[in-house]
Amino acid sequence: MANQSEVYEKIKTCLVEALGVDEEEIKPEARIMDDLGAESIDFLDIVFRLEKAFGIKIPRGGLFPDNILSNNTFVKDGKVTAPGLEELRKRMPYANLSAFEKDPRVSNFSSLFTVDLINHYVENMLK
Amino acid sequence: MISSTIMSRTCSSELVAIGIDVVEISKVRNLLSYGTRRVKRVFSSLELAIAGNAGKAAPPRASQCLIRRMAYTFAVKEAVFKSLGRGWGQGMRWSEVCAAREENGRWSVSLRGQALRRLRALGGSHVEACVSMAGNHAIAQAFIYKIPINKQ
Repeated sequence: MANQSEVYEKIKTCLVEALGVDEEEIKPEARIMDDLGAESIDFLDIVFRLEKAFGIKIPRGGLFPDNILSNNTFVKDGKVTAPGLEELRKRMPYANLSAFEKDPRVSNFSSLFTVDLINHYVENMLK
Repeated sequence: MISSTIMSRTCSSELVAIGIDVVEISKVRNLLSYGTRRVKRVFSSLELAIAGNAGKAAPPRASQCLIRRMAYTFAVKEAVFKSLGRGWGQGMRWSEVCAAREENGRWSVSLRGQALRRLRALGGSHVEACVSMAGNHAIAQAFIYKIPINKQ
């Protein structure tokens, strides 16, 4: 099994190739959309590259939960509700939600998707 | 520019929402290189079959036709998501929007699942789309219409 450093390096390669960014831009705190400029088609590429690189299957909504923001129970007045946050904790045990929980505006949701989050997700999958 | 065909065909319908998308054709080419199993998470069998027919042209144009067609299809899906005000990551699945170019050149769009429910919630009755290309980019625009009650 790959060690943590090897996992991170592989993820870095996937992101550099998928997003056409420089290696130096790939930092743990870099946000996939806001900092690295990923669009929806890039997310597909990232998921497919990760699957190939690590021999894993990432289920739909596995890495990026896809039906929380469209649920009226989980979102009210542009903010993720307490049940929504609870659902996120369940669905994204690999994510650090502490900053988002302080200001759970839907517009902040994309900030959760960082290089670090992908790293934790893959490490979880490989356990 | 909105095609005159769409405008004339829908003049009795009321426009509810518009969405637009631009996609790099090279990114779609890359996506297709991952093989059918992964590609089917994005494109329906019908979309692949129709694009496959386009890909039966004489080489080397065959693969170019197929890739361009799939780029248009992907752009239409994204434009539809935008017209619905919801996108991938917000409960929509690419497989819920089926976009296919018909023999007469028109693009037909059919929705199901969450995408269809969202269309209904917006008061829409149907979606139309048109596409274009500029350089290495496929461009699509989607239009949600509703038929006024007195026209139904």
